[in-house]
Amino acid sequence: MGVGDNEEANDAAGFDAFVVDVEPRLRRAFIGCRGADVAPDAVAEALAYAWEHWEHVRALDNPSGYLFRVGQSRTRRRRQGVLPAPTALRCAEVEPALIPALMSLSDRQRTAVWLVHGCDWSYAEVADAMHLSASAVGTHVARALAHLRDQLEVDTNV
Amino acid sequence: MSDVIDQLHSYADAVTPTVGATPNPRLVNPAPVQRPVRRPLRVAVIAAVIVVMAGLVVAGVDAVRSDPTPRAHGPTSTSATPRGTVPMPVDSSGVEIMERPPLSPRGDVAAAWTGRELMIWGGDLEAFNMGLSGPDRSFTDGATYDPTTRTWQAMASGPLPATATTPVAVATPRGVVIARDAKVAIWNPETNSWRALADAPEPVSDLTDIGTAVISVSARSSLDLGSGTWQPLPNAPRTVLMAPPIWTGAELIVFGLRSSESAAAAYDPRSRIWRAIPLPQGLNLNALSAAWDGQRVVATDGARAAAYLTADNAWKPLPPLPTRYSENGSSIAAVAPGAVTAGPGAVGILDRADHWTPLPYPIAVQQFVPLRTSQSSVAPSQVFMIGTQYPSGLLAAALVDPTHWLAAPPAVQVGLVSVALPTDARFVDAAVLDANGSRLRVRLSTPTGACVITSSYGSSVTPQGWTQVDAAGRDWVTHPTTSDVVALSCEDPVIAQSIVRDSPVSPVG
Repeated sequence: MGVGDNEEANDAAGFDAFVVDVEPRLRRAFIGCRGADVAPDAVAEALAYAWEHWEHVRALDNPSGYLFRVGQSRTRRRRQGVLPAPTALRCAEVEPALIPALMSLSDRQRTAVWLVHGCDWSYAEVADAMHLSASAVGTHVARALAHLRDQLEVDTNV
Repeated sequence: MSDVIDQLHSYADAVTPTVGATPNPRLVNPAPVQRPVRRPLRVAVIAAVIVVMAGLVVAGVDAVRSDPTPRAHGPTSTSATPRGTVPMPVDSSGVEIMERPPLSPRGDVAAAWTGRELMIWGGDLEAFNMGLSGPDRSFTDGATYDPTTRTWQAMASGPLPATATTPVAVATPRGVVIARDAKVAIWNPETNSWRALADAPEPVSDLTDIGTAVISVSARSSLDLGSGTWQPLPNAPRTVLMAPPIWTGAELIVFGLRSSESAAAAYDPRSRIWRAIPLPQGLNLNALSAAWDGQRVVATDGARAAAYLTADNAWKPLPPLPTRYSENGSSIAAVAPGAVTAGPGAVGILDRADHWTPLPYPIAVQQFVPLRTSQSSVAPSQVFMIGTQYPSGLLAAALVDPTHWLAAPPAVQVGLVSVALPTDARFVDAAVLDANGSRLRVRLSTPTGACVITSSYGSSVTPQGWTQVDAAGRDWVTHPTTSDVVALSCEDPVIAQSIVRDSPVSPVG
């Protein structure tokens, strides 16, 4: 095996490890932002881009955020996908009204609140992924939560 | 009940495992090379550039005018032609590629026909998806196009914000109502001036003028243009729209998502009653678009189509579209003979006999704007197509008259290619060119000895060996022609031979 072969093997191993790490994270992110039916395509687009531009992607500080943006851009012109009802997931602790309330948010509010509170992304990561300032992310999240609480008639004083 | 934050997390935990893990692309495509990925939109519009250029020659329109500077909007611009009169500048080709709008590259614009002019406002730039450099941008400028003078004019600055939300517009007798998020304004085409209206109670993604008011189902309200205020729509369900509502003249037909379930309903503004209606079976509701053709709702998902008759409260299947399925969603508009629809770079028209005709002037269409000039239920006969040229990303528009197409010489839709035949062209024969029968030579008899092969991506000159994949995953290869011999290849010999069997062109003799 020559030097070039070793480099290719390292490339492949590094990319495989990267996929194992980032794929579930992207999948969870895209489900809430693009819908359960569109999410697989968005993840596939993002990972395909990562493999085609591996030299570039591996050097990024926040590859998840960058690839989220790639998948988002490449599927944005598709219609908004759907989210299964909580009852279909046997998820009793979630109000069925959460889904229509979530879908009635603007794209940016839904993306921000889902990434922060559904996926545990930091404000900085979300800001990077959405090309916004962290404070703008905070504004979107706050407005989204207020809207969701209003729709679900949650009493925040309890 | 737990707080929303906990519910979001619980729901994410529950839903994520229901979507299967995406395969590692390295194992699917091991070569670590820079290769172009499948980008249908971009390919489509790259081809559209060629079509636009070809169309300019065909239509005899100047490709680029020397002075594209917008002029001041004159106060008489909307009064010269009374409402209800549609100018017909389209020549015998049935299509006029319009002068390029004086707007920077963008998509997702709000558009409306004012009765005299096409108005385009707002939109945004998805730089990465459009193959352009720089950040994404949102726009608050606009322009109008007068087809009688073939000129664009800039719109005055307005009060609406620059957000990434796609704006919507509807023409009314009082002006064009435009909304972005919950911000709403009305633009007067006669004075080129704006008036801010009251904010909508909820974000607006649809506007329909029903004559007595403007209704927004997404905002669950109706807008009184006299007072500029919103009133709640009685008993309006909270719905995520899957397609813009359709006004039949009596009811508003709504396709939406309610509690994660697809649903359709009709709203009668006189009785203020909503009634459930059936959904079109077999159509992908995620890609639905629909239009009222004066008698029925024609709906499509970009591949299949169906018609809804309100009197029967039932859907009737229509033949599948002659255009390729668009994963970017479908577009459809009512026109005089029926409806016109588009896939990526291909257009088809439905006549009253429910027959689709592929059109020989494909353009990558993102939006149709019918030249509807009143609240009459009679459908317009002309339509604007709005799209984007790539790789420049420039906004493009065309004014088309589908009735010309129906009267035009036949076009043979073959897999992913449309062969536009000159007048008096005749099908001569077809022969299998290779052992497995997958490659055909179709011979035509034409007066000029030439015909045009047009791929569904819109290229009038198809590069040698340009392989395209159809909706069934079959590879098609089209070959250039300067004669009346058309060479087509398809990996599926059965499909290839059906080219001949299904050809609508009669053999000579």
